[in-house]
Amino acid sequence: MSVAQTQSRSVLAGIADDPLLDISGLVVETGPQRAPVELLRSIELAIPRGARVGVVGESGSGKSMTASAILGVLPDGVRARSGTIRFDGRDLMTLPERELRRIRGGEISLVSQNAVASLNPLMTVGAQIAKVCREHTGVSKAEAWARTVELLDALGIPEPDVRARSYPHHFSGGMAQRVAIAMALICSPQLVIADEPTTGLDATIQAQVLEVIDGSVKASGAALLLISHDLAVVRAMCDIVAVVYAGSLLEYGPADEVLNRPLSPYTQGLIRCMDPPEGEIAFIPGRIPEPGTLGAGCPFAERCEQATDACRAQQPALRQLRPDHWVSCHHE
Amino acid sequence: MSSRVDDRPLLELRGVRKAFAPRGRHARRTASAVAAVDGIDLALQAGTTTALVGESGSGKSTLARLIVRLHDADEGTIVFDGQEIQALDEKAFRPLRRRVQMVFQNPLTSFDPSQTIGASILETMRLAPDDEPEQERLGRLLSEVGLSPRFAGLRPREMSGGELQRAGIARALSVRPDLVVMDEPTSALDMSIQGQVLELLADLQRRHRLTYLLVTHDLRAVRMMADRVVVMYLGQVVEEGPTEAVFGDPRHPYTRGLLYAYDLSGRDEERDRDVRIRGSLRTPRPGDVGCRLVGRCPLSADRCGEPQALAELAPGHRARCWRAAEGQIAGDRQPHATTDPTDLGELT
Repeated sequence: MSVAQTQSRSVLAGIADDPLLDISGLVVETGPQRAPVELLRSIELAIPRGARVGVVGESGSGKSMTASAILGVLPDGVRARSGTIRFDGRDLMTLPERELRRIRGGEISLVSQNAVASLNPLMTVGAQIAKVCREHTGVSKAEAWARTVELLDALGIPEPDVRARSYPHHFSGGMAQRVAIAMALICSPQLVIADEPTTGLDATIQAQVLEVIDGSVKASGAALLLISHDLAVVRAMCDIVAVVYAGSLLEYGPADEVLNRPLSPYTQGLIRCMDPPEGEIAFIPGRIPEPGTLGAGCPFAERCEQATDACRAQQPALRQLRPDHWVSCHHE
Repeated sequence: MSSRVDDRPLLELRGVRKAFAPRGRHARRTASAVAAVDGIDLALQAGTTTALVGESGSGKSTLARLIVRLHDADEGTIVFDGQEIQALDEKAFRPLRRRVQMVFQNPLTSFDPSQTIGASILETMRLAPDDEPEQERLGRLLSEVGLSPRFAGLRPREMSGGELQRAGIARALSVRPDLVVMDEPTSALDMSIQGQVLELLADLQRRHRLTYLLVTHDLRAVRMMADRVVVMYLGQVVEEGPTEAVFGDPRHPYTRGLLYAYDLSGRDEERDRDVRIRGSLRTPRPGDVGCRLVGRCPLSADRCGEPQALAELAPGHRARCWRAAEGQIAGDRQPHATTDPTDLGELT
């Protein structure tokens, strides 16, 4: 592809007829207005209805920042400068806080990495889940409690009526994560965002929690946005994979396409790191760029074996090289 | 009791036990008699890498700390290069402290934030003085771990995780150790960087004939680095052997369950029923003498309530399970050959 070609980067919009969530040209920055540091550099992302989209990236790639932007809860000193986040026909960037609050927890919910810390230590877990349920659906107290116990049971928590009256610190890591999942599902949201939901859990517990997320998302028909640094988790859970690097989307497509026929050299490298050939230690040379240190070129160029002058001069546009499979790379 | 394979090992543990006093009234009332490290035998051959694998609560980190003597063992002996380290007082141990170094999981917190990297490394390096001028030696150490001399002037916060871990390795090497104990050395690093650090460690091992004890839950790192694997569960060794044997032909139900849990793509109902580890860690009650996996193990039977010996199944390959000893668990498929779904070994 020639460097001169100037195509809009906002191409994923054409993906499905009407994705549930459609992020386009989103720029999120921090620092002084005069000299801002871009954390998300015109990122694109689409989540079709009922799909499971995995966002893979390393530290500083902007994967968690994207989740915060969707939920409208960017950290202090971080602001969205431009772009759109369309959710079910509305632009979340322009909605008033009151409406956003209704969407958060109701239509979009979050399962975060540290479940115990995300729960209120002074309330029983059942009371917390029931409260979320009542705030968003307005059902009676008894009905909310009944739904809570039913959901805890469905998520594999033994003696759910007893455990609902326990406090968060009585739960092990895996069980607390189930509680957090219950809280995320109680209002039957259209989109569940799971941000590193199993990072820090032991392998045997991770497998159980992923199974619970898998089963409950399937049963509720919600779409899933799974954010993880672990390609193996995304491979096991998702039908669409988005690879982000230094605030940009580098590759997007069906999971078996992206994981078996990766187009981006970065994705290829990551897959090698996950599944190194027998007797080999796999890695990608160099280091992950700090925010604000990137020029106009491809953010991965510095570490890419195939990088040319063109790669260093201009960030490649996202192009659909195969059906439903987009990549941002100058190489074919 | 493990038998020694070849020459005298660089490090040998016999019957090592360490228990911590339960904290708080509730904990004291309900605490069981399980020690964090409960009768471990271990032998590390010079120049090799042994991986200590297990989940939280397995006692692997406690064991690592006993070896570098950050804790003292309650029972058992730890012999380093012919010297029993438990018997030595602090002064007599000091020369050995140089020869056994530790690399920590979080490089950011293992360096003094107010000091430059160079100053931190120099401080450790002075424990092993030699004729080479300090600054030259520092520069050589940094270059050996792939860092340019300018890093000597940086503070921990100014470096990336991978660079800091390299500096941590340089600091450990600065005293010319024989044994390096590493507690999750790559777990805090990004996926694309982890391999860089492992590659560096492998290279340094070849050059300096270092002996490694790699404590980790990261089976990918183990597969790439280790000659031998020791699998721990609730303070005990449940399986140990050459890496290919333990990964390719795991004999203890826990090892099999652990490999299955990692292999997220290779799910199927039959294996789920026969291999998957249920529930979460449960501490045995006082008086329980049998296998500690009872209740989580898919193959539990009455006999599992009896004491289980660490039985030798093949040269150097041992497992603590009567089923394994009787050859009931064998011939499982390669845990990572997952591409062909028909390639599932039969359970006997």
